Amino acid sequence: MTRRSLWCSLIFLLMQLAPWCAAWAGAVVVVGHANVHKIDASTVQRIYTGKVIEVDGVPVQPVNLKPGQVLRQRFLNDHLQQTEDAYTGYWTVRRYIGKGAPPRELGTVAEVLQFVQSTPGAVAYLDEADVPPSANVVYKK
Amino acid sequence: MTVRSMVSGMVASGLLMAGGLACAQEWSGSAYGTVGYTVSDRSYRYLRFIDDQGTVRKDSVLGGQVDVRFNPQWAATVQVKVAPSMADEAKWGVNVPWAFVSWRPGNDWLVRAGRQRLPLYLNSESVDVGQTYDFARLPQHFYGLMPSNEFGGLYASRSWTQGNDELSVDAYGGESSLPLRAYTRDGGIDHFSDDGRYSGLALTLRQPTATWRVGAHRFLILKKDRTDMGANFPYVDTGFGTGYYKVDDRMPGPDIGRASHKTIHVFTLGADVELAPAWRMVSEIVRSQSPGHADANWSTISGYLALFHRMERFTPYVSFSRLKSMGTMARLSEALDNVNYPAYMPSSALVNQAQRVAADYVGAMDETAWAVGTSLAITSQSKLKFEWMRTEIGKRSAYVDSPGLQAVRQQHINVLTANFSFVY
Repeated sequence: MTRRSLWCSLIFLLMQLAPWCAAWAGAVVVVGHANVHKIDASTVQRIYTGKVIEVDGVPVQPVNLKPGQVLRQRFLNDHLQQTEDAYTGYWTVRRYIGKGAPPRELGTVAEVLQFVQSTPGAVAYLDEADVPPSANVVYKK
Repeated sequence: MTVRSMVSGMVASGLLMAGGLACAQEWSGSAYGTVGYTVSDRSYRYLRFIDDQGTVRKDSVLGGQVDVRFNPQWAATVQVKVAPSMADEAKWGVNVPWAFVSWRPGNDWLVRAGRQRLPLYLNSESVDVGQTYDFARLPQHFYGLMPSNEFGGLYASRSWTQGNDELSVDAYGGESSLPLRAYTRDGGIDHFSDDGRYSGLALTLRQPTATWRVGAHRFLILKKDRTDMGANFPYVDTGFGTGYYKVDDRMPGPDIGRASHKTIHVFTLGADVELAPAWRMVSEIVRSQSPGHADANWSTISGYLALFHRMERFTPYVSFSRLKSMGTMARLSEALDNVNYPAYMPSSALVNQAQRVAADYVGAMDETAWAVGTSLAITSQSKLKFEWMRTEIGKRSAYVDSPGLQAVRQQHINVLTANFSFVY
């Protein structure tokens, strides 16, 4: 076997393993500031589509990662059952019919963690592997 | 919209934004626009701008919106747009369709105060944002009926959720200057404005694969200077089978019946339904009618039906729309057009001219249109659209600027449109 064919075989093998690797990534969990109570899947959807602004009397402030980030795509897919395009389209309509603007967007997981810890009512999503022990996990699928 | 009201609106919007940004928890800006070219096969103008010379003025618009969130309950929005002026055929104008403060006391309530859009039809609130729909141009036999659907006032919405379904009731009340355009065969284009007072209710059911809306609205139209408007135009019989309608106080005959205002009741029904995966049907119907029996009463029925099929980035569609004036409105227009005061009678030219002008101001409609088009989603924030529309003019149409002294009737108009819409 030549060196070239060996490399090709290796790349092919890695491509076959890619879906398994993705499956090994931690689940996307929803975390909240200390004053946010546990929520269910439907409430997560309604918070991120602007239909819910308070949960059990606590005003909530959801945050998103910026478009294009893998974790955001996983959250939209797993929890909202939407593609990035559909979610963007939804908020475009909602904004221009006077029903509000989309959730605040932050650039990094560190910024998200900082926001959640310092902002009462903050709600965000994280990869399970990134959740600090002190975090308030409000929903896990 | 007058220069004064436009400036005051923009100043108020600026102050609202400046104050809002100063104490905002967060704010975001966005922009939208459409650059469109459209051309017909007729030398006369249709839908204000369209003729065989082609125009970019019919659909082109550029707008920006700032949303300020003070906290989860309180927010403010200002939208400014640049589009062809409603008061001048040759100029572009700046308009403020949205400038409001909103309050959500809880999950189910939304209250807005300020300048906003009427919740009339399925796409009324986002009519300028071409990215939010697949039509190259929203059916004008429907969406073109109201020259402006903005008002200043109060709006309240209450929603109920059941599973994935959401039912909401929207109620509103307010007023606005109503910019109007009339074309008369004898005098050309006339821009003027009346005042409108609006109130209404809309019931909307949003399901994962469908949206349904039914609405009842009441519009009250008054002259700017609050003088009375003509309501009944008596027929003056001059003998030997001749006569005319008295449409001007200077004409001989009994007094013109007058009213302080005109009331129009509007009933709407709309549905946007996913029939099967990738197949969508959108249809709306509106009946608008003035109560009572005055000659100048407004009475129209219009509707459209469109079928969309999504194929990857392409969404081709076919649509059919119809608009027809009814009742005394149609009869008066027809009767005025049929007057041919004989030349041997005194002032016959003036009388005939007055009949034509009055017929044109009645604004009767009788049109049918078919359209075939497609939208192409270039990105999630931009679309390219093409459409061929064929309109059949029946007895007459106020959308046509008729050349000469004979109103255009029983003719067809082919209209080609290419648009690029975007949001950022």
